Amino acid sequence: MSIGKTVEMRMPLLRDMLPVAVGCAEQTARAFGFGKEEQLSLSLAVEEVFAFLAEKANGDETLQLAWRHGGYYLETACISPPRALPTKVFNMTARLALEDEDSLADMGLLLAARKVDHFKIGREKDGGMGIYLTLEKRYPQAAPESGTVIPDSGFGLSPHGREEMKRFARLATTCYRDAAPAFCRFPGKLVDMVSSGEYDAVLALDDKGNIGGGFLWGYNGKMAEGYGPYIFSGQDGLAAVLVEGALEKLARTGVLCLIIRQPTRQIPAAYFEPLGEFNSLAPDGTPQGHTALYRQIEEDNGMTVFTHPHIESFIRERYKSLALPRQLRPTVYEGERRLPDSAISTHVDRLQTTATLSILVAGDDVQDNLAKHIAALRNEGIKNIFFELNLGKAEEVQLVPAVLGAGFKPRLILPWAGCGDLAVFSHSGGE
Amino acid sequence: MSAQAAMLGNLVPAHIRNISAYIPSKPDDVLREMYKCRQLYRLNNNENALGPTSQAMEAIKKFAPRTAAIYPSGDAYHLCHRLAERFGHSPEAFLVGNGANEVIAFVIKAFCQPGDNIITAEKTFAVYEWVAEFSGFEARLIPLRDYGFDAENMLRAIDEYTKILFICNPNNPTGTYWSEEKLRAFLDRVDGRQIVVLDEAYAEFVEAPDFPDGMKLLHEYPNLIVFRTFSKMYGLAALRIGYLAGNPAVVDIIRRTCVVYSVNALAQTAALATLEDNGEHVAATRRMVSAAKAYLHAELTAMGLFHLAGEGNYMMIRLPVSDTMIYRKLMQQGFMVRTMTGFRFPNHIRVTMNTLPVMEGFIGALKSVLPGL
Ligand SMILES: Cc1ncc(COP(=O)(O)O)c(C=O)c1O
Repeated sequence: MSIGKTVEMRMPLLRDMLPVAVGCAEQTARAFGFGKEEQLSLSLAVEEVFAFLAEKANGDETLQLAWRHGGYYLETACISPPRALPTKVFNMTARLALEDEDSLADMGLLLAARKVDHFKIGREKDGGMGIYLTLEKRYPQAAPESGTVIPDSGFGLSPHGREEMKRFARLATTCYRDAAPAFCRFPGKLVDMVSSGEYDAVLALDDKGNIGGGFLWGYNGKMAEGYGPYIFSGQDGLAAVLVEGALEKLARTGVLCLIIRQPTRQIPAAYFEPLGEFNSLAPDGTPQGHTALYRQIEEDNGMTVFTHPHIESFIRERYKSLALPRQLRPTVYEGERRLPDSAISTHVDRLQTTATLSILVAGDDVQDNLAKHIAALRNEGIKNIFFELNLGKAEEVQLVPAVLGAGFKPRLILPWAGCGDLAVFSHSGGE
Repeated sequence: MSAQAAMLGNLVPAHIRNISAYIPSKPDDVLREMYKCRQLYRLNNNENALGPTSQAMEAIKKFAPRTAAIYPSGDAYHLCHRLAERFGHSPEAFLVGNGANEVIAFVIKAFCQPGDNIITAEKTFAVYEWVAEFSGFEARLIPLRDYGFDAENMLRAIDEYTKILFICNPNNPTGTYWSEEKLRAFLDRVDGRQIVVLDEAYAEFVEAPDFPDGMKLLHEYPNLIVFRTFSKMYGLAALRIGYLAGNPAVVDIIRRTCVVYSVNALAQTAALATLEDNGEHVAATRRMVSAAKAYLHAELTAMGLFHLAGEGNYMMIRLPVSDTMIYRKLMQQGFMVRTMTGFRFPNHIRVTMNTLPVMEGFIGALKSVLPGL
């Protein structure tokens, strides 16, 4: 987090304080250069979250609000101290008591999620709970790049500036249409994404400044998520040059692996391992099936993971085909005491109409809770719903029957994507 | 993490916050269990399969357990004197460390301050770059040219904040080296303005007649520092002992940053005994290495695999598939290689030369995990 680009405040979690929080959200968005429309969305979202939490709090709690300017987005974190609020409040579908007069507040966090581009609930390192609202800056959409003739030779990896990045974005959208990531339609956004340090790119240029192709990736903890390679020139072997360039840049950064969920057809297979099928719906509703590809960056020295009998054959098959050294420890729930109320973390990506659920607190009611989340998300028009299960945590793995019962099917394993491996499930209604 | 520990995060400087700890490989017993292999051949760290010299083994056996209670010589007194005799310098020209890795840190600490930079190659041993970066200094990484250090571009990257140039000779992992002529030309162009470190961790393996002897050049170039280690040719990697040599005035500066007592008594004893070797150990090791290289060269050529067999006790091989995947598959068969993605050579592995039966086993395993070859 770069100092100077954050605004922080702490305030009593009391309804009377609501105008302070909302005013600060709006002013911060304005000060960071976000437009009127974004300022309004953000202040409404903060209003919803604050009102909802204040209603649930007992009057002597504090809420920490922090705004972080990420260049192309503004992230608002609403962090409550550990045990300040009952964890079930942090379910996106949590509702207020019926006697509450305010019918808007009854929608709880869902309403806040509707106002922003990404919405996430998570647990802080100190045990506190965080609600994260991310609002992306609006950028002008680019006109397609027409009439450019790209030569068939002379390209090599080269450092690039903003103008090359923008031209790359236009070319990717022109040549790949919907197969190019949506952010490429906004060249200014791609420039800001890369300068934020959260994304990176390698481009192939020739000495006349033509762009032969490029490969992009975003950093996500210990994992990098790749896009491409996008190839505009007929030069032989350009895709491999780009992928090698990306891997060389990722080496010695501490990133453990690179995954590409939707590789282009030019992807040089020799650098990757197939992870499994990944089916989803594009924002316009067209079904997309892709073989997600995986590239480990570091040597894998193995770990122990938990399995549940209901998904054990899937897990064994995946590990065998990936030759991943894992010691499997079967675990089942055997009636031991656990919390009655679960909490589910939700990450909604409105732009991709995708939601990813995971367990925040393992509790008895998890199957019902998942069902509620699925219903609410479908109602919101979210097309793809995934569930991520941390195979390093026994109490999560014991919930497998509930996850399957809620209509999820195991699809693939993302090695080292969480605090260990993650099993990714997709909801069958979404394909 | 407790709230208090989380608060301590504020104490962490930005250049530390943004880097990850080096993850060493797990011990053999754990790896064997993970990968379900009966034996494990470590061909990943360029150790000497023949072990230490017989003299060192004898000295280790004779080491009196009771002396474990006594602090070692804080400046490896006897070893420095013995090295001085051997190489014709004064004892003050030597500084012994807990492996050559430790002396890398001493040199950087001694000469760099905030805003300074070091220059090395993009594809070489990682520790120069790591130590610079976790100490908050910029590492300027110059791409290799024809797999070797690029003198011209290294010189071009020098500015007023450049303090040290690191040259790995021969280079790990490519096995390329600068001849004496090339090294001299480089040192002449640097002209004493920066420190030049010549890492000769693998010098004892080199047989090429034009390979420079850094120890001799020290007399002519006071800004030159040479690294040597007992970990590779001399088979003492477990004891952690290496050293640097340089002009005594320069070494005096570096000595101010060094950790006294970091080199244990057993390591000092074994290193001293190593220097009694009459050349037999080196000759036997070189025979093993060249037999292994000849065998691998023939096999890899037949398999159509590009490989670089330069100097040093290792070879780099280009694979038609992901190196980190092949690593796992070779581990299942009990062969541990070093993946080269981490050296910015994706789809390459580096293999340490070993005895012929082990190399044959390695080739058999490689064939079985590379379908279609
Ligand atoms: C080029 C080079 N320098 C230095 C070292 C470090 O050796 P030591 O074991 O003495 O720390 C190594 C070990 O791999 C190396 O390859």
